[in-house]
Parts: sequence; C-alpha cells; structure tokens
Amino acid sequence: MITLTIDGKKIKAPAGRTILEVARDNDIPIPTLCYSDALEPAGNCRLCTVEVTHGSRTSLETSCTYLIQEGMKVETASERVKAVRKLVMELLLARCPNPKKIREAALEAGVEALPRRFSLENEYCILCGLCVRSCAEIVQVHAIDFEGSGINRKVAVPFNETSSACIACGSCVFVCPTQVIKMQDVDDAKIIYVEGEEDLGPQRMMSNWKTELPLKMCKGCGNPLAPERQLTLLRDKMILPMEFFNYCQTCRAYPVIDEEKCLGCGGCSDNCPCGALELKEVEKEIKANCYTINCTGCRICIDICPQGAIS
Amino acid sequence: MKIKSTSDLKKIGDQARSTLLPSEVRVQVGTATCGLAKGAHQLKEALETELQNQKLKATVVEVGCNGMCHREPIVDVIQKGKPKITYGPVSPDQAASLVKAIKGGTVLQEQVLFRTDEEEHLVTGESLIYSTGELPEPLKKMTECHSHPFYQKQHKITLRNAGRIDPASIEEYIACGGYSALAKSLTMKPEKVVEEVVASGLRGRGGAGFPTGAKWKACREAPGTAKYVVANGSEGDPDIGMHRSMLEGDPHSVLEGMIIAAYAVGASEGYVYISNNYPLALERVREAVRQARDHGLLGDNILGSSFCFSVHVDEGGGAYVCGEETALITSLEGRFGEPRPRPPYPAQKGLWEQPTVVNNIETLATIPVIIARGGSWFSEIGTRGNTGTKVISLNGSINNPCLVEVPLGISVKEVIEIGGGISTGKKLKAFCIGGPSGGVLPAQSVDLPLTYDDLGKKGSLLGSAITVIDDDVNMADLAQYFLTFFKEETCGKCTTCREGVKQMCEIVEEICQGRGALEDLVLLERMAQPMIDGSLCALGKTIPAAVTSTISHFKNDYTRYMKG
Repeated sequence: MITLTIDGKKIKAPAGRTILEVARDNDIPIPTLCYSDALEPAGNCRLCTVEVTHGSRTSLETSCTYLIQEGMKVETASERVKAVRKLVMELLLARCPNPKKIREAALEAGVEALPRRFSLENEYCILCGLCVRSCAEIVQVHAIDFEGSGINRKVAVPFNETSSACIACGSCVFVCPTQVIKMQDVDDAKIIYVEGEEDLGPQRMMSNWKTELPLKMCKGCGNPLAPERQLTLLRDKMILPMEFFNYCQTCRAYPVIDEEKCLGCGGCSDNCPCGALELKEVEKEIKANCYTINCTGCRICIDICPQGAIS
Repeated sequence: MKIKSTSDLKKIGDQARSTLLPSEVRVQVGTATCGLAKGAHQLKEALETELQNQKLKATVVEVGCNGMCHREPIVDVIQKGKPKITYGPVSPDQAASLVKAIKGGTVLQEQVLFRTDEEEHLVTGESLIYSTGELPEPLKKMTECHSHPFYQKQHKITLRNAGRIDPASIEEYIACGGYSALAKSLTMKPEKVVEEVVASGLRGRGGAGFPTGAKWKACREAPGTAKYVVANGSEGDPDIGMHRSMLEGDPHSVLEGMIIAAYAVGASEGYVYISNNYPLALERVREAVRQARDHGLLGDNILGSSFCFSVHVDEGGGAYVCGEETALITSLEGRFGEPRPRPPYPAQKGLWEQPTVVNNIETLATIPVIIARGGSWFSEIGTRGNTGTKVISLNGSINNPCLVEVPLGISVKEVIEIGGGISTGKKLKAFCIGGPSGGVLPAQSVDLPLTYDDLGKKGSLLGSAITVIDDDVNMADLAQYFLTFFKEETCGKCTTCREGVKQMCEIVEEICQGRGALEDLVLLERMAQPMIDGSLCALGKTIPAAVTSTISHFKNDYTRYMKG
C-alpha cells in the first residue's frame, strides 16, 4: 500500500494505480475529456492536470497517466492547475465552440468568454483519441487512427479510403464526447454508377470513416440485424456456430424442455455448440435446462434428444 | 581482419599511422556537407587530375570538417618533415598552382590559413609530429594552429578527429587511439565504467543536461530481459548541422562510445537514430558499422571477451520532436513519433518496454576520452557541475559561421569572438542558444558563462548553436518565425501545445501586421505558464520561451507595430 496526500487528505491506495483512479475512489473530482476507465490512459486533453510534489520537486502532471508514489502530495485545484484547465478549455472551446459537452466543461473550468484575440474554428473533434483507442483496444480492429501531424492532426481511416477493417460496431460513436461520429442504418442505400443507380439494399453508414456495410437480415422477421462483417468477426472471435446470427433476438426459437419426457441423459448439453444447455437437479432428478441467453436457436438439441423431449 | 586482442589493435594502429604521416604527400580535402556545398568534390577531382598531370605521387584523402565552415573548401597538405599546411578556401582552378607549390616545396601564400607543427592524439596522449627540424623563413611567419585565434580558446574532445582522419577508414581512427578505450573498458568491471562516467560529471549534451552516469546507473540497475543503447542523432533545429558534421567527420567515435555504454549498462543491441535529411552522415555511419563488424568490434565476443553487441542504423523522418527521447523511442518502434509520459523513464522502460539508454551522439563521442584519460581528468575541464566541452554551431549575423568546441564556463562573448564576432558594421542585439527552444537572450547577457545552470537560470538552455542577432532584426518577427517553426513541428498530441501554438502564432502574426494591441501581449504572457505546465514534452514546454523572452527583453519591437 502507498500513502499519499490529495488536497490535504491522507489516502492509502495499492501501488500501480494512477492519481486519477485514486482521487475518484476517494470522491475527489478531477475533470477529464480523453479518459475512459475501459481504456489505456493517453494524456491527450491535459484537462486532468494536477500539481504533484514529490520530495523537493514540484511538477504538473496528467493525473490519468501518473502513477501514485509513496509520500507524494497532490493538489487538484491549485492556482497553477486551475490556470492549465482554463487554458485547455479556452483552446478547446476556440476549436470546437458548438458541442454541448465542451461548452459545459469550459464553464466548469471558469471560462466565461473566450479571449477576443483567439481565432475560432468550427471543429467538432477535440482529438481526445477515445475512438482510436476503443477501436484498437476493445474492438481490436484498428480501423481508425490519427492522421497528419501537429495542427493538421485528425482521426481518419487509412488513406481516407473505405475501410476494410471497420465493422461498424459503433464503439467510436459511443465513446465520442462531442458526438461528432455518425452512424446510420439506411433501408435502401443506393450507389450511383455512371449507367444509373444501383440498389445496395440495407446498409449501415459510418460517414466519418467512409464505410458502408451491408446489413444482415433476420431469417425470421426480415429486419436488419447488424453488419455482416461485424457478425463474422464476432463469430470467429468467440468460436460460435455459423447459424448463430441467423435470427434476431426476438425471433430466436429457444428449446422448450418437457421435463416429464427428459431422462437427463446429457446428449443435448454435450452437443450444444453454445454451451446453452446444462443439466440441473429438479426435485432430485437430473433434467436438461436451457440458458436462452446463450442459445442461437440452431435446433441441434431437438434433433439429438432420443426422447423427443425438446421442442 | 578480426581484431581479437589489444595487440591486434595496436598492430593495425601502427600500420595506419604511416598513412596519416606517409612518406609521399598526403592531401586532405574537407568533404563534409559544408565543404561539398562549396564545391569540395570538384576540387578533389581537380587535385587528382593535376597530381597526375604534374606527375606528383600523392594520396588525396577525404576528411570531415575542421570547424572552419566559412573557409571551405579546405585543403591540408602533409609532407614528411614539414608542418601540415591548411589552405582555404581553395577553388578548383587553384588546384594546378597548389600542386605546383607542393612539388616545388613552396606554399600558396594567399590561401594559407595556418600551419600545424604537431597534433596530439587525445586518447593516447601521444603526438603526431609533422614538423621536424628548423622551419624555413616563410613558414615561420605563418600562424601556428594552436595560436590561431580560431583554435586558441577551443578545446577539442568530441571533435578530436574531425578534419584530421578519413571518416571512412577505421584504420585511421584506430591509429589515433580509436577503440583503445573500448579495449580498456572491457578489462574493467561494467560498474567501474559507470563509476568513471559518474566521476567525470558528464551531463547529457542534448540540452536538458541530465547526468549521463546517473542515467547509465539507472539503466544498469533496472530489471529487463534485454537492454538497449540508442544514439540520438536527431537534430531538427533550423540552421544547425552539428550532429551532421560530427557523424560525417568521425562516426567511429560515436560508435565506440556506444559500445562502451552498452558494456557498462549490459545492453546487447543498439540503434543509431539519424534523420534522413543527413544522407552523407547516414552513409558514413553505416560504413563505420560495417567496418566495425568486419573487424570484430561489433558482434559476438568483442575483442575476444564474452561481450556481444550489435548496432542498427535507423533513419528518422526529420521531425523536431523526435529529438525528445521518448518520441525517438516511439519512432524507433515504427510508430508515429510522439512523446510518452515519464515516468517510467526510458532507463526503466524504454524501447520495446525494456531499459534503454538514450544518449546524444555528442555525449557518446566524449565517452572514449573519459575512459581513456579517466573521469577525474575530464572533470577538470569546464567548471564545477558543468564539466567538459560543448560543440557549438555558430550562425546568424556572424562574420565566420563555423563549428567550434569550447570548454564549458567560457562566456558567450568569447565564443562569438571565435567566429570572428558579429558581422562587420552590425550591432549585437540578442542571441539565441539552443535553437528556437531556448528563446532569446539580450546583448547584455553576452558575458554569461556557457553552462547548463547559468543558462537555465535565464530561461534558456545549453543547445548546439549560438545564433547571433543584430539590430536589423525585429524580435516580434523572430518570435513569429519561431512560432511558425513550432506550429509545423508540434506532434499534435497535447491540447496545450497543438492549439496553444496555433493561437499564439496567429496573435503574433496579427501584431506583426499592425493589427495588435497591448492587451495581446498580456494574453500571450498569460498563456505561457499554463502551456509550460500543461504540455507533456520539452517541445511544448519550450514554445512559450520564444514569446516571453522576446516580450520581456524587447517589448518595443512589438509596440512598434501597434498603432497609436
């Protein structure tokens, strides 16, 4: 355990944690924009800067990346810290004056009006990199990354061409603090060729990443389920049977087990490709039981049951 | 031939000494980039043709830059028993008369820079004696190298061989005592090598001045499956060619320093990182690595010991930020050169997450001398806490733009005087040390000693160049130039640096175009500290210096652009 002080409060925390994590555990608020507890910290936005004194050395560090050390003193709201947060929000507000989240964070940092001399842009992306990191770390497809250096930096797909990696899962849309990434399902997407229009059918459009992916239809109701590429990736990653995504959640036929007929032989549970069937004890007898959440509705168990107990 | 022992090394050195001081004439042409830019290549061809025409037996050798870049192309003539005569500038049309003079035993009076009677080999302490016996009258009157104003105050340690030996010849390097320090290190315990560097007081020459010995010690003690040594030859500042000149003139000194570093910290692999806008330096270093490998100075069982080490040469894209050690490491790993937060420091977790020593090439080139002569010998040079020498590229409004090596603690004024002082007819207004990152210092500070501590106190840093600024320059324009440079060189990771420099640059631009007001200066100064505090790496942290140092010393230059 490491002992440190945050804003005068003595705190004990296990080694290997960051200042931000420890502060939040102890209800000490530190504002962030590029942080997510599901992702590796990056220290891009600099909003979570705190003042760290260790021995005779005082420095300003981003609390999301800085690991706690024995005896360190942390100030989360000193004048120097406040000045950094204010400048960060002034600069981000000048870049992105419209997104609600930025306007709120700016107010919170004490920015009432922008310096008259700041030139305004009309960007929506604050380059926090949450989308890039979620695509790389969670989805692991690395479809997007930062492109260009310095003031020309932006998030993009390689060569700005239709991505062959994006699965249109929408993780980037979900994490984006300014909601600049757009995802839209279109029933009858059309592509315009020289000879005329071609009907692409239902597509999921990720306009930011120049990606349109055909949607797979549910065999039952015929409604769009999810992009085929996304389902393929999930199936491969989780080693699911081919039929797994044939039906949507509502149309999936789940096995109903007639406990009168079931002998508890285990044939169904041994052969269920998804591990959805297990044996359990019902009134001192062994019976099959289906956990529908794992069931794909593949109907293998129905064919296997020697007693015809599953329907 | 593989060198397996110290006696093998000595044998090669003895043989090569005769090429440095041959029985026939040796003509050296400075063909570093500064020389090539002034036609050294054509001169070399002209000399070779003339030597053939006039039937004079002589070898023409390419050497690095001796520092007098303003006198390029430079030619040294070495004849047995006579002092070495250095000429410059020599044009290709003068080749015929030069060869004629050599043949006739006379000199080309107008082109003569100085004569050299003897040269010390710093590593061995031995001297190469050119001149034996009584000097004839015309030569006697000629300035001797050591009393030449250009060399008087210089102390060459890092640049010990540049301009003297053929950089493409490992034999000539060995003849000057090269790789003997490596041989000596291998007989010492690695800890003892680290101790020697600690005792020398050597501080990193990249600008931050972190004690090299401490860095090595941290890396040596850090746990890791593999360790790396990285030579930082990245140099992005505008108008500086100090790394280039060093690598072009004496690549083996850097390599030897690297091998010693690797032995001291326990590394098995090393990388030399050079930006791709230095093609000649890259070529020379690659050649040096190949030669060292062929001679058994790199690879397995170096000099017959159990120590193994290999070196790779890596081309960078020339980004300024890649001089920052963590960004350099990221770039080496094949990713976009972007700094990482510290800690963990590279000495604990660097390249591929393993303990890594990143040293500036100037630091590494100093190492062999420290090992050969001892840490305490080195610590006598310079001042307390700021030991040794620094290579400085002198440019800007100066009579003789050049490359010098001076002991630390010397005043800026003295260094500028080595370069012939400020351009004739101009008045010193300010100077920059350490490129755009060091900001500017006013003319009053010209007596400041050249040390990490003194410059640090003034908000500057000990970089690789002194740029002299005369009173024709408006400092607001200079600030704008620096900011434009930074705007292009910021990596874009941190909000404060990326967006901050964009806004600062536009504000200064507005001022320079006559649309500014006093409140703008207040805003610029208010932005400075949070930008320093909020940015991750040294690039973002040093941007505001360009603005604050010009505002605090030269506010008038800004208000001159303001109406009313």
